[in-house]
Amino acid sequence: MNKLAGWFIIFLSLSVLVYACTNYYFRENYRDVNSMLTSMKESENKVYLKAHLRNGDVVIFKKAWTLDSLSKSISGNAIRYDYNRELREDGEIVISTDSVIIYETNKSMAWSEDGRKSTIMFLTGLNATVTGFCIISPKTCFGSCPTFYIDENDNFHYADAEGFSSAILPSLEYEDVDALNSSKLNDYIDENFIDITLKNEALETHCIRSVSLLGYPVKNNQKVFHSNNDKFYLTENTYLPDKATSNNNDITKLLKYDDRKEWLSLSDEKNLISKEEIILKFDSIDNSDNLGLNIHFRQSLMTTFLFYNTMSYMGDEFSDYFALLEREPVIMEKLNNGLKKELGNIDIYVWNASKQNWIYQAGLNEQGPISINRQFVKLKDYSGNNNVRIKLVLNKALWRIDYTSLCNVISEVKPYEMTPKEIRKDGKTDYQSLSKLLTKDDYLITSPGESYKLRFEIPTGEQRYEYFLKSKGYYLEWMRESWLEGKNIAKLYMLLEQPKLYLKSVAKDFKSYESQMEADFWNSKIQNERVIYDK
Amino acid sequence: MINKIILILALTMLMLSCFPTPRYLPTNKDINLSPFGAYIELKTENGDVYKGELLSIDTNKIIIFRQTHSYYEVFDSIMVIPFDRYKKYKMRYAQNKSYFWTIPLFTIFPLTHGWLLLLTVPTNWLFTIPITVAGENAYTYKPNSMDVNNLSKFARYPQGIPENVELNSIKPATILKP
Repeated sequence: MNKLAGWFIIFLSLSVLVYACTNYYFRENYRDVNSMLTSMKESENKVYLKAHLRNGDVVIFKKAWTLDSLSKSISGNAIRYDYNRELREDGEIVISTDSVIIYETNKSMAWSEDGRKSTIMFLTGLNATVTGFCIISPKTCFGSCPTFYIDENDNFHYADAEGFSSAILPSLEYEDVDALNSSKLNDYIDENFIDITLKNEALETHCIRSVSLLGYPVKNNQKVFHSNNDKFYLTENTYLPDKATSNNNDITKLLKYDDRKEWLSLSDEKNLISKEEIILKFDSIDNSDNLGLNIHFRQSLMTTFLFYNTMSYMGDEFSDYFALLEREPVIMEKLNNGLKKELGNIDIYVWNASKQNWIYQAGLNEQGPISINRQFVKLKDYSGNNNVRIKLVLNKALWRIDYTSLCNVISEVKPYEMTPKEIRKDGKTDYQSLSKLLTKDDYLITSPGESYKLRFEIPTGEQRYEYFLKSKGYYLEWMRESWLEGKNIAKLYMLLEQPKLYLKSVAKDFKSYESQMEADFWNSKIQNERVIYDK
Repeated sequence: MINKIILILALTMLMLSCFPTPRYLPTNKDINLSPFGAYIELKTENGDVYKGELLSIDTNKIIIFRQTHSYYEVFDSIMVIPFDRYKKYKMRYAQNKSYFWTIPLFTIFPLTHGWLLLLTVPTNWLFTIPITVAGENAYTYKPNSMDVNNLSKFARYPQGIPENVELNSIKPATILKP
């Protein structure tokens, strides 16, 4: 950051130097008329003439002027001032060239502010575009759901965990577990305390019932993973894919390293429901007992697009519909069995050589485009010695995949749970918030822009731990003024009753939104890369 | 971070050296219509500073209609300064436009950009600070941009004080009505 700031100051200083050192050279003086005329022929620009007379008067020709070499006179529409610059004449003036001692020519400087004005206009346009983009896609600019940070200075694209993204209503409250980057967390441990910053970065009200840190001790070469069925597995060994392909494209480099260089495909412009496959080949497995697949993934902005569309269709009846969703579980079920089901999970299959068939393992589905989910699936019914084939079936443009690996499961484990010991808000201990988080029937309610530092006491000793963050609650999205204009109840009903048709109907809209949004989303990131494959 | 912002703003303020713009000077569009000399700030070897309208300059002497009040534009004495006492100068020949307002405006504007303001604020500063500094320095010359021997072009009397004119009869520059 300091280095970046240093470069910024250097670049700024250089810009200032370049800008500030601009000088205009627009004026020339001539002692005689001939040298002036010679110079003017060489000049392409129109020049204005000012004649300084021997007696101190000055005649300023406003526009065109005529030199008569026979009568040795200059004439034109001009103003004549005396030596004290008091007005003497204004109109058609004729002066003798013999009375002139200095001919002053000036080029027009009317354009001299144009560059600065254009730059300001460009800057206004640029800022307005970003503002417009943030209105369309507030999640991209302001984040979403409760976000958790090990380093409080990270921006939300680097959030270490994102709590209960799907819980958009009280009835949808659930407990969410996110794996934390344990090696990063270890760097931030102060004695035996770690501070996790909880932020509300969206136009949402967050109702947080509980937050706790889970930890389990591991030896070298061991890791703990959280599975899709809410179990924790102690594992050892790591096998990276030898080959990963999607639509005949080699994407091995993207899926082999935990480096935030993610794979993402673009949507089908005819239909948002469009499946594709990723094939992973592991050819050098030393121990094929009890294998499990570790996968790092997050959603693209497709669900954000669909969610905001839904809100927009509700228009000014948004709160009525949300209340209806809360009262009528049938409608919520329709949503889940409709849109969610059609878009589907990341379905995992393993190749069984003896059965010559792909065996279904599990479907992963974690909402939210912000933090990367690290999930684990214990594999079953696979065959092969040191060769394992895995197939991921997923909806196009819905998922970003960062990393995949296999490992050997040692056992299922139960991590220790650590509740916050202290909460600090604006640098002060906040006992009330702590009490709310520790009381089962109470909620810590946060508003946009609020930030809390949760302090956890972690086990002492040399033992290395793997950490997870567990959060429970729900959140309420705020209606945006711009969404009110998009009210469309017919479309809302199509979304509920005919999700397949709906997803087909908005495919084109998403396509145009996707190219803009994905580009802005990723271009806005620092030191990150993306790779998009489009068939 | 706050320290860095303060540093950048302090540097900006430093670069915006307060060089006045007397009201008699023309706008950039009317430069060719002004009958007066440019406004000059002259520093001599012994540290004296003279400010005012440049009346004439030659190899022997520099004559200015001195501004005797540092704030109000009162020009009431003509100074003849021997050329060999000249050390450096700064001169303004037209009204500059202030763009200082762009810095706070384009610092506040990105509040609507969410976390993207981390990128848009520095980007805005990369444009607004140089524009402001350039705006302040526009229509000026210093020795490194124009040799002092060429300054006569910007004097009221580039030919020198006319022979028929008594110095004490010269009146100061006034704002011309359009």
